[in-house]
Amino acid sequence: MQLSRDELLRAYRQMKIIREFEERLHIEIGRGEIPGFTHLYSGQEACAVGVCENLEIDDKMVSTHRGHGHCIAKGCDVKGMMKEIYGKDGGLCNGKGGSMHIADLDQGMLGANGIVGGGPPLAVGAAIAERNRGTGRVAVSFGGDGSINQGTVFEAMNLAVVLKAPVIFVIENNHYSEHTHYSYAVGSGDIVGRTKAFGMPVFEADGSDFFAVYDAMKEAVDRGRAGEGPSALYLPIVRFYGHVEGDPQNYRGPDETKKNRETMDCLPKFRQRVTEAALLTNEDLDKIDEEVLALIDEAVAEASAAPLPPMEMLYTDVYNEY
Amino acid sequence: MSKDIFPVVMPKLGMEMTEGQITKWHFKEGDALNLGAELADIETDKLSIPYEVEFEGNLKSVIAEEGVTYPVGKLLAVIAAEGVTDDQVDEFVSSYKSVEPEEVEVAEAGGGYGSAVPSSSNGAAPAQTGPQASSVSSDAVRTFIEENNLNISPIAARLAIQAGVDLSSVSGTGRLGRISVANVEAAAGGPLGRKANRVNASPVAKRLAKQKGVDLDVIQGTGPNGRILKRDVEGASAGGGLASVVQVGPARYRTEPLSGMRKAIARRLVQSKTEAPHHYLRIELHMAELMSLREGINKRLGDKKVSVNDLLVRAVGLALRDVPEANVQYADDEMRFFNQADVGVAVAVESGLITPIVKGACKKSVLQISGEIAALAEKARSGGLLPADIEGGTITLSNLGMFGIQGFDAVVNPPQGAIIAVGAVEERPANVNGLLDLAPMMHVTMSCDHRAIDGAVGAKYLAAFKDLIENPVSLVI
Amino acid sequence: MPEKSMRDAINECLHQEMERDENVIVLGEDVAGGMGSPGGPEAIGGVFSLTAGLFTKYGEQRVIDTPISESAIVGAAAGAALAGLRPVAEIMFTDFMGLCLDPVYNQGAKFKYMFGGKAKTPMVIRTTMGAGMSAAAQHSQTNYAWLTSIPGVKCAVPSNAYDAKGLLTSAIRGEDPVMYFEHKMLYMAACEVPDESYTVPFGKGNLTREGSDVTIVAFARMVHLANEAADELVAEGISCEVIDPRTTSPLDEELILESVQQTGRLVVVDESNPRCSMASDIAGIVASQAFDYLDAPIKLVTPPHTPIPFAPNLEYAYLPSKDRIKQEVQQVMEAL
Repeated sequence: MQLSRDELLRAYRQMKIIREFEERLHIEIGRGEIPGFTHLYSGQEACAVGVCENLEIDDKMVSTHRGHGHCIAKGCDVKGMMKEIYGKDGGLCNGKGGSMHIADLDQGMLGANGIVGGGPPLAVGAAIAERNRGTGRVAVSFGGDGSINQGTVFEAMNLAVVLKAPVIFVIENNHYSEHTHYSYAVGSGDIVGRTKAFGMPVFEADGSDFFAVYDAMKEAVDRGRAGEGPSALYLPIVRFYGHVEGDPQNYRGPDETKKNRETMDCLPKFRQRVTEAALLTNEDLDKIDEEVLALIDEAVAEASAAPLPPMEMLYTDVYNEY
Repeated sequence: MSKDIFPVVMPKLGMEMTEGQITKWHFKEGDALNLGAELADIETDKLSIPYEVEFEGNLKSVIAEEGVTYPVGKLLAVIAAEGVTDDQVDEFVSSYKSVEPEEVEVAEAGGGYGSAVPSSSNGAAPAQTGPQASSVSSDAVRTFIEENNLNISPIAARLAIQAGVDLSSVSGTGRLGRISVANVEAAAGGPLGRKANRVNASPVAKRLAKQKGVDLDVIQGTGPNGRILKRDVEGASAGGGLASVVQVGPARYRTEPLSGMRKAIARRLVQSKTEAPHHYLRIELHMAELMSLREGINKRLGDKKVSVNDLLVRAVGLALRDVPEANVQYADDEMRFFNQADVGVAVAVESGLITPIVKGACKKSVLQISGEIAALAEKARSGGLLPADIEGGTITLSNLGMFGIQGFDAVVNPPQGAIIAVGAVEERPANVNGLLDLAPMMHVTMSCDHRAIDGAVGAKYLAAFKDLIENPVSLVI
Repeated sequence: MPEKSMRDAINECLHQEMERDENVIVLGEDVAGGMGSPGGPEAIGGVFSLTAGLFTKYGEQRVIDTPISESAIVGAAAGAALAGLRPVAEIMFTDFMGLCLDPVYNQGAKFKYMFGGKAKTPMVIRTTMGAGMSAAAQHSQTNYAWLTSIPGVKCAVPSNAYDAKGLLTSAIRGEDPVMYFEHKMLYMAACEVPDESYTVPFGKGNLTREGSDVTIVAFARMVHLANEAADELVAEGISCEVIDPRTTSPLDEELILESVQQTGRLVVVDESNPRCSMASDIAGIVASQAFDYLDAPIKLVTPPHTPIPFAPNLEYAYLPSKDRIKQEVQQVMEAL
């Protein structure tokens, strides 16, 4: 698929922002700055960006507990997200949600979700809304190999097929569901086959290859917009960090992470591809690297300096009226 | 409810009041009344209290007669704003229903059950009546709400009607903006319905009171909201009431109807004299030391003055502390021993005699006692005593010294165990250090209910009392 | 005014609201019935006929039959609500809430709060509850108490057709997630119901009967039993005030407290098991906020701590009855 220069720059920028955002959080969490549980997305950037570059602002999306990458890729404000993760006033959710519950409905982002398998049924509902309104918009549901055995996901997939809802189930198989390898947890070992059996096509791509992901998603989106019903994407990938920050990662083999960073890093892969094809130069990309690092610095500085949410926020927004 | 016509009704003053009388109207029909003016004097069997005007206008339709007893809630007169015609007043009076508190109409049982009183849905529902094949609610309340287009709790509506509260200027701060009972009570100036008549006592206090045969109405509650707690019942006497009165022979003969207070005095003292076997213990006290102490105290105080009576009250209290077996009451099958000395102080008022109580006289300083007695006496004379002021009390001090009486025997105030009667402090021949000399002396008679206090106990008490008075520095330590 | 059954009143509400706002959709199992089958769609219009006629009028995009997938049904309702629709999902029996509690409890109830006020979930989950039909342990329960305990959810428990229509209208037009509980034994109970649309507000209880001796608070079918008991107690000189809260969240605590302050006695009648029930909740509220006004211990009339038995005589003994209510009231009147 031929992308324009601007589109390529943008794609790289988005992936780089996600990477630096997560890497910086890893450091700040290590210093004790961030409350609660944080699940980092480093290593999976091409999945989020490859998918979201096919979407418009009012296409809908639901994400998981590992949602920072999806939020950024969908267009959520980076500084607002950082403040939210720090639990400060001015966060994207006013400090009420935190890392696992970041949302921005204006960007079509219906929330990261702390319940594994909580997202897919929501996406089916959002898709029905778009179908009824005749907007041609789709709803994307991100999930991992962890959620693929959850009853809610099966129900959502079946319901989507029955109602021909324009949902796209994106399955990022990063091989570990917390501490358990998917080869143990998925009885048949065949995620793609099971998903196909529900009655929808599954488009496969290497999750570390932005271009492959982009192309696969394009097919699914075209299907959805044309009213042909749901699809799935199957994206094998790796995560560089543990399930959650603080995870000792005893389940990994020796040097596994080192090898992952060397062989499965989407950023150098993208750089190599575009520079070899003379689509972009190293200078173009270096410039973006610098800008992104500065952006993340600013975001962290602002989040650190931001005030805590005022006490009254404890009681607000439970109901619309009571 | 018309906002131009205000009903003057017999108020409920005090928990037990069921009826009262107007002893005097201070205004006549047609007079203009200002807020706060004393319209009439209202008397119960315990108190006399002026009725203060709460609604400015002209006094109309004075229905109640002086000296006649009326039940609480009865329409006595009407106050009408300027511009209201006599016909309107007459109509108001003839249609006025004196609603007894606590009476609520419950309609006949019927078939369907549903919104007896339609909760207002902000005007959205065309049929506020809801499902009622046959309603079991109070029609009056429902009609009232509908006709006045009110957003109001049905219970608040019922209470407002009963109490005659004008809701036109009451704003609702209850659930979803409706007028709540709290709003109506604020407009009425106090608790309504059953709340107004409640004895507030904790469940364990009630149980204990029942066991002990204690009347909760006369106990002062020390808990939150005036709640009577277990400790209040444990420490209480069931007593309270009016002072005994020295029998004054009948003077000239003219008839007067008996005031509430007179009736009460008669009733209680007959009870005391017929039921309690009285015996009398007498002593004479040397008062020089006490008078000198008093002088010293008053010099120190400047314009505040402590009276002999104040010191006597303290002594009465302390003596009870020292001789607790005299702080008793006889009550049917048991003897009650009190742990605090609540001393009644007889105060003469125009209509008779009343005994406000100084609670815990054994624990209060002379100065405190002095202040309290002064305040209570003032209240008594101005008719401002409340039931709580005159209820309770484990002993009474009656002092006729200011009238020149040398000594007398008082009647025990039931259900107290004793009463101390003192006369004037006079220079009399006495034994002063073995020689005959003049000395300031005071006669004391202790009348005791022999069922509660035997001679020996009474004597012990008087000995303690004497010791305190004749060594008066003990009163201030 | 015409009399309508609760079932007809609810059906009328759904028709009127779907007519009024194209964002209102209905989804659930057999809400139309017959999808994919030779007999064709609209085979039943809901197993209790609550959704009859909707499919024919509004079509399959707005009246959606689903496979048996409770969590997907409710989850889709929550997602559709986030995306701007006003779904009215049906869970055939409230006993099935166990299968779909997460999308109510962790999702719909919490979106507005977690997302800093920047989202809303205007979904209504209608469901059928209650015993008395020998439907046995898994099809007869009442569980509004657990849903009531969830911040972010509202719960309605109508006792009659008039309230049913008004409350459902309010629920659909409101912006908060609502659990709407219909008692299966009341579907045929009829009373006067206006033809036009109207709302009954959440959080305003209904004083079904005024009285001075004891306050009885009851829910759904128990409201009727309480009033029957109250009728008979009049002959014994006991005057009962009967309150139907109509919604358990928000709860009209104020009306209950105002009533108890006047009567001094409280009996709560609830068809749910006793532990952590609305009965124990109300007892706690009244004991802590109206302590000074109580003249007797609070009595709770509930079933025992057992599942619901099948045999009709056992089921009858399980449920609160008019006679049991009378007995508890008499006891409360004697206790001093």
